[in-house]
Order: sequence, then structure tokens, then C-alpha cells
Amino acid sequence: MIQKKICMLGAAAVGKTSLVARYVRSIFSENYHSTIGVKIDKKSLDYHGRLVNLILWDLYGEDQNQQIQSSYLRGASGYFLIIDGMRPETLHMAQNLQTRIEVAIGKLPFIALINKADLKDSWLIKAQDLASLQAAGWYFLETSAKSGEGVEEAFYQLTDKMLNIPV
Amino acid sequence: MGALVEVVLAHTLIYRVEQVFLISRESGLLLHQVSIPTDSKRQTEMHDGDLISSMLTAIQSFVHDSFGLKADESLETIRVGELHVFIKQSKDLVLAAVVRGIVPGDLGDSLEAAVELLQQQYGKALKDFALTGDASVFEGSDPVLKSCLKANFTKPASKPKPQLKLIFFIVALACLSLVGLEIYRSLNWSNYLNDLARQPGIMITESSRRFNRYELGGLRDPLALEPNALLKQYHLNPSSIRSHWESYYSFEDSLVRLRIAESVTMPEGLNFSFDQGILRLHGVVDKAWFEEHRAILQNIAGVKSLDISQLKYREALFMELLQEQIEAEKIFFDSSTLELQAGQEEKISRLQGDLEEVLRVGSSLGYKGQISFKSSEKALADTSLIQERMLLIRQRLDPQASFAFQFSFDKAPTQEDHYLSLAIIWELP
Repeated sequence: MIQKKICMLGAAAVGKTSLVARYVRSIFSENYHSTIGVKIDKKSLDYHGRLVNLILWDLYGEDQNQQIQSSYLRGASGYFLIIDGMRPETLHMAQNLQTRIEVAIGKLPFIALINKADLKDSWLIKAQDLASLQAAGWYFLETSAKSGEGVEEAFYQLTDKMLNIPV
Repeated sequence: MGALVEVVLAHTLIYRVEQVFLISRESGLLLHQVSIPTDSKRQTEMHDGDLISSMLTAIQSFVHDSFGLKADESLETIRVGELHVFIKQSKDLVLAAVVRGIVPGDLGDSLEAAVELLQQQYGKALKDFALTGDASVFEGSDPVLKSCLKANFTKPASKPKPQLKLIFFIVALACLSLVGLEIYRSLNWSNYLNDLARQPGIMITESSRRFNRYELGGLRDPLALEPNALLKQYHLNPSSIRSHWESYYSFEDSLVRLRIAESVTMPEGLNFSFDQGILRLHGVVDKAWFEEHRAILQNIAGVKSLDISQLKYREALFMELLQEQIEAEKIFFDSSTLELQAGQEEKISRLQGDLEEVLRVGSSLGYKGQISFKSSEKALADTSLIQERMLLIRQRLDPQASFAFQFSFDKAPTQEDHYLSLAIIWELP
């Protein structure tokens, strides 16, 4: 059995918690978010015949009044950056977060998830907005909390990156 | 059955280390865990040890950051009710023990020793774990973690020894006996007081009891029942009672009757009754005796008045009897003469003595007597003859002329012959 700590980060109200709610084992209330700023869930998956437990640290969405607690990032093996396709500012927030994470704990595998794929027609974030980031090594996946699109794949891809095993 | 065992354990438990988690200090990931064998619910909880470990780590970080603790300071204990979570950490490891009950003072030391030992054993393995995420190597920590699963229970109450049972039985019996004796004494004392209070001439004004010591006091007529006389009936020991009685005269009828009988010895033939303050004398008594005792009787406490309407003087009875005898005698004359018939002289002589006696007794009683004559109707025809006969008899009866005679005639009820008889008329004093 392999265990990995991963973090979920993003601006406030990008739908981090909703995105994974149906796919994880959860024993803690969402109130933990507003109290200690983190909620911990578990996602188990089969990776090439090996059981992998992803311990998911869902960090309270960052906004102007509250910043993530960097100590919660310690020991993580990878992370998701969640972006709301309808709010371009959440992309900028993700960039800031990514920079700060690298400063705090170093370079780690991560995937940027552009959420609300079911409303893609209304997205304000365009492909050209992402190009420079992709060039810098960012990997994007489109996900939908509503349809579940891309969620399982996201976990799998991040696991793959963390274990550094080519697909 | 499991539930019963849990209940029994809960009642004898001093403390028990129920779960131990070995956690990566850096990531909060669970490396290994052990717990006491328990029910299926707990087993399920164990599966969430990885989530618990991470949340514990998050809480540690939260506390550390929130309260600005120094690098070497950290959250060491969490307590909820009787549940404690002890957290000891080494350079790279965290050992968290979930303890139920009263935590012994040396538990922290043993946990600390364990985590340091594991740090030495797995320091290098932790670096590999950070890369691979493979925690299987930490299964080797099982013996050390299990050694931390300590528990301490109170010894079940041992079966009492037969001697102890006997002592307990005797003590219980003694206690019951004392309680029973106390109730018995209390009832006896209460009944005794009630009975005593009903006795004439006794007024209880104070009473108290403490165990087998009693106190009693009040007013008592000297002629009333002696209070100790009732004690035996109520199984009370006179020596355990301290009593104080003040004397008084009771006006209850029964007590006044006793007092009358105590004060005066009634002569034979004299009786009395007493009711509502009135002393009634009835029967026969010498006048002298009554005169002598009258004041005594009237002054007896409780006697308001003396009723002697039913009392007869012995002298008066004698007087009445003698008077009847005198008045029954007839002095016969020969027809139409002053000649007494044969045998009349003796009769006159006897009457003379009787008259003296009856007049003397009457006088002693305060009466003044007069003697009058009765004659047969046949004799009444010749008034002068009657007067002569009357004078003749008076001279014979009272030669000294000391009696008071009344020369009146009463008609006798028969006409059988010529005679005179006497009647005595008393003037009331």
C-alpha cells in the first residue's frame, strides 16, 4: 500500500470540496474548513495493481481575508490547483498560490483543474490564457463537479506524476 | 456478551491505552497503528486511522501556528472526557496514543522512549517513504507499538471470606437488633407515658428519652398511683429512669374519695359518697362523733359542701324506738272509776323510767318534749273522770313535776276498753 499526501488549493468558491465530494471517503465535517482551515478526506485508487491511498488535504479557499496556512502543505507529495472557468481571477490566484507553494515546500507535481466544465460555453478563461502556463510546464485538466467529468482522471494523473511512473 | 464485558471493564478500568498511531511528522501520513482487540465498531474506526493521523497533524499545526509556539513546542495532550490523546514526537515521527481513564504519570515517558527508539530504527526508512509512499516497512514497528498498549484494572472484588461473611452477618444482626430494641423501647416508653397520663392525680409536664436513659417529671397527688408501679408492665427498668414529682392536691373525684377515706375513719354504720365536690354522709352515727369530725370533713381538699340529709344520729333512733314503746303502752282503769286494773302499777313504773330516758335523749339532741294523753273514745264520755285519771297518772309518773305535760286528748282508734296512753310531742330546736 502506498500513501501520499496531496493538497487541494484554489481561490474561494471555486468548487474544490464539491469536486471531490462524491469520490472520496470523508469522516470529517466541512465545518473543519471554517475552524482550523483544512478538511481531510481519503481517496483510494488502484494504480497498476497497487493500492494507493491519497490523503487529501482540502485547504480552505483563499481570499483577500484569509490565506492558506503553509504548515498544512508540509509533507505533501503533490497538489491540485482548482480554477473556476467562469472567473479569470481564480487563474491568477492559482498562479500566485503555485509560486508560494514552490517557495514554501519546493517543486512538487501538481495539476491545474479548470472546474465547471459543464458550463464551458460560458467560460471566461480562454485557451490562449493558458498557453503561457502550459509552456511553463503546467498541466491542465477540465473537470465538472456536476457531471464528475475529469475527477477520477485527475486523481490518477496526479498519482502517476507523484510516483513518477510513466503511463 | 461483548457488551457485558465492556460494562464490566468500564467499571474496573483505571486506564487503558486503546490505540497507538505511528505518524510521519512531516506529512501526517499514518505509518503504522495498533489497537487493543475489540468489537467490530472499533475495527472500523481503525481503518480511518490514516484520516485521524492526518487530522491530528493538522490540529497540531493549527495549534502551533495559532499560538505562535516555538519550534520545539507542540501540542502534547488532547483530552475529551475520560479520553486522552497523548502525542510524543521525535525528529521525524509522531507517536499518538489514545488512552481511556486516569493516565498514569509514567505513560508519557514510556511513549517518549518508544518514539525515540523508532526514530533510530526508521530514520532512514522515512526518507524512502517520502519518495515511495510505501508504508509496509513500518509494520516492523508493531512490537514496539504494542508494548505501548498498556492497561490497568482494579482487581475484581474478591469473594468475601467465610469469616468476613460471618462477621458481617453478626454486625448486621447486631445493628438490626439495636434498631429493633430502640423501636421496642420507644414504644414501651410511649405507652407507659400514655398510661401514666391517664392515671388520676398525675400530670406529666416533661419527659425525654435517650437510648436507655429516661427522664420524667410533673405534678403528683400523694395519693395517686406510684409511677414506678406501672414500669414492670412496660418492661422498663426503674434504675434507668430519673423522675421528679411536685406534690399537689387533685380534685378528681376518685382522688378526693381516697383523701376522705385517708383523713377520717368512718365508724361502723356510716358511709359516704362523693360527687362533684359534694360529700354525702349516709347511715347512723353518734352525734358526738359527727360533731367532732364535722370540721375535718368540711376542710378536706376538694370537698366543697357536706350533705347530711341522709345521716341519722344513733341517739335519735334510740329516742324514736323508745318513744314508740312508750306510746304503745296503755294504762287500764276499771270501768268508770279511778281504780287501776291489776298489773298497771308495774307498767306505770316502767313508763316513768322510759319517759325520763326519752326526754333526756331528746334533750341531748336539742329537742324539748311534751307529754300528752290519749284516751279511748268510751272514756271520753265523762270528761271529768278523764281529767282525774290524767292527774292521777301524771302524779304517778312525775311526782317531782319535772315533765312538761299537756292535758289534751287525742281520740284513740279503738273503743275496746277504758284506758289512757301517752304521746310525746317534740318541739324542734
